[in-house]
Amino acid sequence: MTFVPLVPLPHTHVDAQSDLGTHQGVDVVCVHGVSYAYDHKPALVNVTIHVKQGSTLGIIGPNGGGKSTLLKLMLGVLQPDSGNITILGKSPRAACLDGGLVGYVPQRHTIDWTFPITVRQVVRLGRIGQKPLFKWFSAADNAAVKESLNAVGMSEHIDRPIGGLSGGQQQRVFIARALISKPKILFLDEPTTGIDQAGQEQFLQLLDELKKQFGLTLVMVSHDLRSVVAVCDRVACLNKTLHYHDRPKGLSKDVLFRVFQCDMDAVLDTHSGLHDHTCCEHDHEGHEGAGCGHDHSAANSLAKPAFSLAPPKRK
Amino acid sequence: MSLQDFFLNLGYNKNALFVGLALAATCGLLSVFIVLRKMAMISESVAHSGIGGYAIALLIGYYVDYFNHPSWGPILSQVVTAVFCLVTAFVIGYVAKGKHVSEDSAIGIFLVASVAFGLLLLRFRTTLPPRALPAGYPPRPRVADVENVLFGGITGVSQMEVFIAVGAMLLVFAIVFALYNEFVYTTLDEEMARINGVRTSLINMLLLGMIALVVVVGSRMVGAIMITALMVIPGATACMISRKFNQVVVASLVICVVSVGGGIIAASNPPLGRYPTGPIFVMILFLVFVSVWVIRKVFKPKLEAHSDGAGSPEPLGEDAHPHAHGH
Repeated sequence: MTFVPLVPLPHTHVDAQSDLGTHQGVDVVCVHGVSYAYDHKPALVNVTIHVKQGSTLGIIGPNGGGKSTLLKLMLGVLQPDSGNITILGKSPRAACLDGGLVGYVPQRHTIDWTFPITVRQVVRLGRIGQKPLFKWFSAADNAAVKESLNAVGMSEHIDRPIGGLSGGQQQRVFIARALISKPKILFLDEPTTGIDQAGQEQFLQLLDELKKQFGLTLVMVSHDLRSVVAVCDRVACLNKTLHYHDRPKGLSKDVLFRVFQCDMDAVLDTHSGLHDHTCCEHDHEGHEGAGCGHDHSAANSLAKPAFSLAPPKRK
Repeated sequence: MSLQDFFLNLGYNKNALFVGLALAATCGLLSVFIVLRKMAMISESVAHSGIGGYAIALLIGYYVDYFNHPSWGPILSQVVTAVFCLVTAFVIGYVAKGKHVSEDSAIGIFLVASVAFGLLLLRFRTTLPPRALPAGYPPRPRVADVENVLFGGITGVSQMEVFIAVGAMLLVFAIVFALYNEFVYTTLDEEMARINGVRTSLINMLLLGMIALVVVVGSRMVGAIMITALMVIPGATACMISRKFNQVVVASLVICVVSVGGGIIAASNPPLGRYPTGPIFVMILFLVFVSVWVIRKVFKPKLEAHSDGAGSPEPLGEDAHPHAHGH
C-alpha cells in the first residue's frame, strides 16, 4: 500500500497511512466497498471497514447515518447492493449460523420487557443455533447459562423474570446471551443508550474485562462519542459514507462536525475551504430543515470530552 | 335436577365434550404465542375468513356430491375452509409487507371482506333449486347448521369430528413441543432469533397454519365469529398470573380447558340448553379474565419471584433509575 498524505476528502476513505498497513493482526471483519439503499434512497455509499482481531471498533455517526444498516449488513440481516462483507472469511449469514463466531447485543428497546420469561431462559436462547432441531436444551446448555451469567455478574438473578431488572441488568442479560455461544466477535448496537453515567462507566469496564477474558473482537455502534472514545482503539465515523477510520486520538473537530452536523452538501463545502467551527455552524444553519439541530448540541458537548482534539490535518 | 342427571345429560353430548376439550387444549397452547406476538387481530381475521371458506365448501358441496359423503365429506369441507383461511392470512401478510397499506388496515379490510363474501355466498346458496343426493348420504346442511358455524353449537357432533379435533390437537402439540424454544425465541424477538439461526419465516408460517387449523376445527362448536376469544383470552389472562413462560403456558391451558369444559356442561343442561354455545364459552372466559384482572388491580399480588428480595443492593451498581430513557 503506497503512502498517501492525508487529505480531508469529502468522501473520505480508510486512512491509508494508519494502522491498516502497520498494525499486526488478521482482519476478522472485512467490509469492502459496500453500498446499500432503501428503496433507491442511499443509506450507505461505498463503505470500506476492516476490523483487526482483538481490536475494539466504535462506529459513530448521527441518527440516520447508516450505523444500524451497516450492523444489519454485517449480521447478514440485509444484503448489500454492491460490495462484499466477510466475517472470518465467511459470508455474514454463514458466520451467524455457525453459532460460535458472532455474538450480537441488540438495543434494549428491541424487546418487550414485560414478556413473561426468566433471565435463564432468555440467555439459554442464545444457544439455539447449536442445539439440534427438535431437541430441548440439555444440562450442558444450562451449565453454559450459569457460566455466561457469571461472566457478566448476573448469576444471582438467574431465576428472575426479566421484567424486574434495571436497565443495566437488562443490558447484561443481552450480553450474557451473546456470550453463551462463545463468539469471537461481539457486535453491540447502542449499548449505552438509556444507562446513566455511572452505569455506563461500569458497563464499559465490564466490556473491557470480557474482551480480555474471552479474547473478543468488539464492534460497537453508538452515537455516544464519549463512551466510544473511552473504550475503542479504532473509530469509524459514518454518515452515509465513511468519513474517518482510524485511532480515536486522530479524530479532529473537523471530522466530527462533518459527520455529526452537516449533510452531504455541507460536507462538500467544508472540503473546498479551510473551514472551522463558525463556518460549519453557518452551513449548518443553512440546512436546519434537515433536522440536525439535536445533533449539533450533542456534538458540541461531545467535542469537549476527555480526549485531546488534534488540530485538523491538512496538507 | 339431581347431580346425576346433570352429568347424564352430557351423555348425549359426549362427542361434543371431546371435541371441546381437544379444541380448548389446542387454543390454550397457541393462545400464549398469539397474545405475546400481538397477533390477536390477525387470528381474528383468519377466523372470520372461515365464514368465507365454509360458504365456498357449501357451494362446492351443492355441485360435487362427494363433499356430502358421510365420512369424507366433513374432512373435504374443512380442508377447503382451511385453505381459504390460510390464503387470506398470507394475502394479508403480503399486502401488509408493501408500504401502501399498514398491517392494521390490511387486517381490517380483509376481515370484513371475507365475512361479506361468505354471507353473500351463503345467501346465494339458498337461491339454488333443491338437488338430490345419492342414497345413503346425510341430508344437506340446514339453516341451523349454518348458524352453528357462525355462532357455535354442540348438537349432532359426529365421531369423525372427534377424530379430526383430537388429531388436530396432537398435531399442534407435536409441532409446538418439537420447536418449543424456536417458537419462544421468535415470539420474544424475531430478528434476534433469525440472527441466531432460527428459521423464523417457517415458524411464522407454522403458527398461521395452526391458527387456521384451530379455526376450522373450532368454528363448528364456538362459531367463526367468536373462536378468536379462545385464542386470545386464555393467553391474556395467563400473562396476568405469572411472569414465567412455562407457567403462563400451563395457566393458559388450564383456563381454556376448564372454561370450555364448564361451558359444555352448562350448554348440555336445560337452562342454557337451547342457547348457542359460542357465546357461553366466551362469557365464561370473559368472566375468568375479568376476575383475574380485578384481583391484579385491587390486590396487586407480586408476580416477580425475586430470588434476592426486592430492593437488594445491586452488586455491580446499576443505574439509579431502572427504566430511565435517554441520557
